[in-house]
Amino acid sequence: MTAAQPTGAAPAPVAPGPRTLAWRRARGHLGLMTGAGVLALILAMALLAPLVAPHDPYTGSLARRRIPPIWHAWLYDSPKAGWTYPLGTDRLGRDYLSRLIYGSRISLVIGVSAMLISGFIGSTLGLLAGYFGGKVDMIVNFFVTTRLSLPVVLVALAVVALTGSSLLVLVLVLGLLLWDRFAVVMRAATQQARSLDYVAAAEAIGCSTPYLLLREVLPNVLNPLIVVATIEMANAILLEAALSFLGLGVRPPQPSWGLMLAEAKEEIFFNTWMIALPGIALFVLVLSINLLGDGARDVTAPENRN
Amino acid sequence: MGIVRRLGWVGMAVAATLAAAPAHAQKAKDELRVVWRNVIPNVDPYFNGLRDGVVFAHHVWDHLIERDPDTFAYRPGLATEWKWVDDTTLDLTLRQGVRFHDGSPFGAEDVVHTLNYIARPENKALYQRNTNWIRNAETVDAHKVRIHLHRPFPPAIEFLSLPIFIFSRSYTGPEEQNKRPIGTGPYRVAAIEPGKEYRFERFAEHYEGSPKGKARIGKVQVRIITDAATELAELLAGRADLLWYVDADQVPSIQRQRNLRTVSAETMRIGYLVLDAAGRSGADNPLTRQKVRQAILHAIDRKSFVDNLVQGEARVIHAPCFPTQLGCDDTSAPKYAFDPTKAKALLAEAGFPNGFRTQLMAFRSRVWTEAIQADLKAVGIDAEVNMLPVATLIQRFQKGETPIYQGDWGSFSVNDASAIVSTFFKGGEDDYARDRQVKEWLDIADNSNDVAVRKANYKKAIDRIMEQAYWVPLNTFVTNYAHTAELDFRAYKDEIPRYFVYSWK
Repeated sequence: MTAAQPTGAAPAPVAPGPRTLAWRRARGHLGLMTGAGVLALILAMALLAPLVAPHDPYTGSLARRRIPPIWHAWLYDSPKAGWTYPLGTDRLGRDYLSRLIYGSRISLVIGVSAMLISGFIGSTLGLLAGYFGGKVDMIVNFFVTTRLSLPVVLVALAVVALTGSSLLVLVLVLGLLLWDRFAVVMRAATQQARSLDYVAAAEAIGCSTPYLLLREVLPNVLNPLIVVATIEMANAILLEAALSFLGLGVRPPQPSWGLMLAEAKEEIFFNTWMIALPGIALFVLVLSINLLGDGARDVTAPENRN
Repeated sequence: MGIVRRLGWVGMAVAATLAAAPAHAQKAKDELRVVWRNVIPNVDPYFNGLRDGVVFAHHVWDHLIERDPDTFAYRPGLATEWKWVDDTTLDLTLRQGVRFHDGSPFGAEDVVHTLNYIARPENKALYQRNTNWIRNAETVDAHKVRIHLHRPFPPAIEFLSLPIFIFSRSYTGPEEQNKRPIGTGPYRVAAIEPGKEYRFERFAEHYEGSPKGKARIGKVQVRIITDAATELAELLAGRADLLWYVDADQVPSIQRQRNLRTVSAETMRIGYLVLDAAGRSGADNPLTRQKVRQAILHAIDRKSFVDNLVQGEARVIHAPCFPTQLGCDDTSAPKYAFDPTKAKALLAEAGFPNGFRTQLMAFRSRVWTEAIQADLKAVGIDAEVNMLPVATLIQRFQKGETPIYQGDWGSFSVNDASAIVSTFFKGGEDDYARDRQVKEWLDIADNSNDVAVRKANYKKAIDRIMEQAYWVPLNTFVTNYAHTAELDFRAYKDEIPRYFVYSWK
């Protein structure tokens, strides 16, 4: 835990501060910069979807269905491909590019919200277990074990099948199912931090337990959480795609990437691009999030690097 | 021509050569490998309504009377002669020397046992329309039977030659039948794994003079693969010889494969939406209003649906029956043109200016259903799409749980409007209209021996169904088959592939 020194330890005037150091490391970190750059691009695309998307992602014309993407004009002399629909149209004649752009919104919304919910639940439980130990730890461990014994996909499928699916249900289900890593990591980090001198000092001068938890322990155990958060966000995005692919996630005509994969399933042999494009989109998004998380870990806690 | 395209052709040629090898081996093994899409709940033809089940039955069992698949003329099957004694009594003389797969001889007792079993309502044959016209059957002598009808039923011979299969006297019901099906048909069942695989072997003692003829290919293996893409993978990899219900979009690409062929054939099947006019899925739901239903008819661009999605010879229809069926007359029924503006106006008149939310349930094709969804959305109706496996969906449909059901019906290939209109509009589980007037007309039409009376009453019923907009008739069907070039295949307009006719080239 050297990256974020306790606030009391003022840096020597000549040596650069930890933040400056971290920033320097970040700029030199190829993975982090690539991940952050791509993610920023996707984020901008999602936020500006109505401005960026060339067509309405929901309405198409059956007469213009299955137009191949622009490179089919260059490589295969396809007469139908053209710049009007640079990535072609789907089986209902909707613009593929616009659907991919709008699809990023769904992936990001689900990824971020599921990550926030599971992060909140997991870190609260982990913090309590790590700080108090004893019975609290036992109870939290019981919850974690219970959660770990539930197959995520199966439970998500069952819940969605029972309640019907909507964006809210999906976010809640994923949020409530993905908190275990947060709890485990948080618990271990808190146990370490709890026995450190500055916590003991704060305890000795009579700080209240909430103060100790929130001001002394929490800020110093956040680093490992960043990595877990990115992993879980990527996980939630992939799960959403899987559920949508199975017809139990986002409802058509929403342009979820998983749903786009499902809709193009039958084209896998002869129109590979239809299934490849949403697949690539998912791959790029998840990769960029993972690169970002990995980089953040390297930058903030370089001693953990392996 | 782009270089990549050329490379693509080379790749395809290589793939074709690789895939061709197993097909040759298949010819040597004399085993036809077929893939079906749907899980048949029970192979007993009286207890499932799936086309796959109908095909199964046509291979394992025989009819008293067989209908020629090309001319639709009746030919002697298990009965060599049949004669109407009066409007409600039919005498049949049975063929002698016929044997069941287990070696037991066929006789009047088998026919009487089968017909009496299925005619009893408490035995709950799934589609009562197929069987409830029979009152009972009795033995006249060892090779003669007499069938009594409740009321005159003119399409009786048609039904005897399609949905009515004859079982053996040892038949005890669907449970046993699903384990050890015994029939007289050209193939006997060698192995059965429900929901997974069926294996058939040629039945060498299939009776002489059968209109079906003896099976040419020794063995047939049917595997059930519920996913269209996986099915196609099997065909492309040379692990299957015959597929059906192939996605129309893939047909041209499959046709380009050197070792594969495709056949597209119009069939008696029609596609439609059933609107919950009776409020079975929820009393007083918006679909119970006539104007809402009419709005839906105006909202759907059926022409574009047929041309772009169903493709091939498919046509738009304006009545809830197949055009060649006796009594299927849409001349005076209202025709609803594609007109979203009018649809919106009708919705506003019905009290839904901003549309409403509902559910659209289907099984056949996600793309087709989403196209309907998009058309409904354009006039403000927000229909949540729910794709389900066919057997599950039919159960929910019959329970009254589907606000809008997108289905299709092949009428068991019976060329008579009663096989569809009277199945869906006579107050049974499949009826979402529950219109007494329609039922009355259908009763007259179903049970009159006068063709003119029948036609007039079906017409009245169809007119009312379309005025009330109980159904949205969509299209006639085209069934697409894909098979290895090795197989001498042909499609039939009654949508029953006949494996016993096919042979290797």
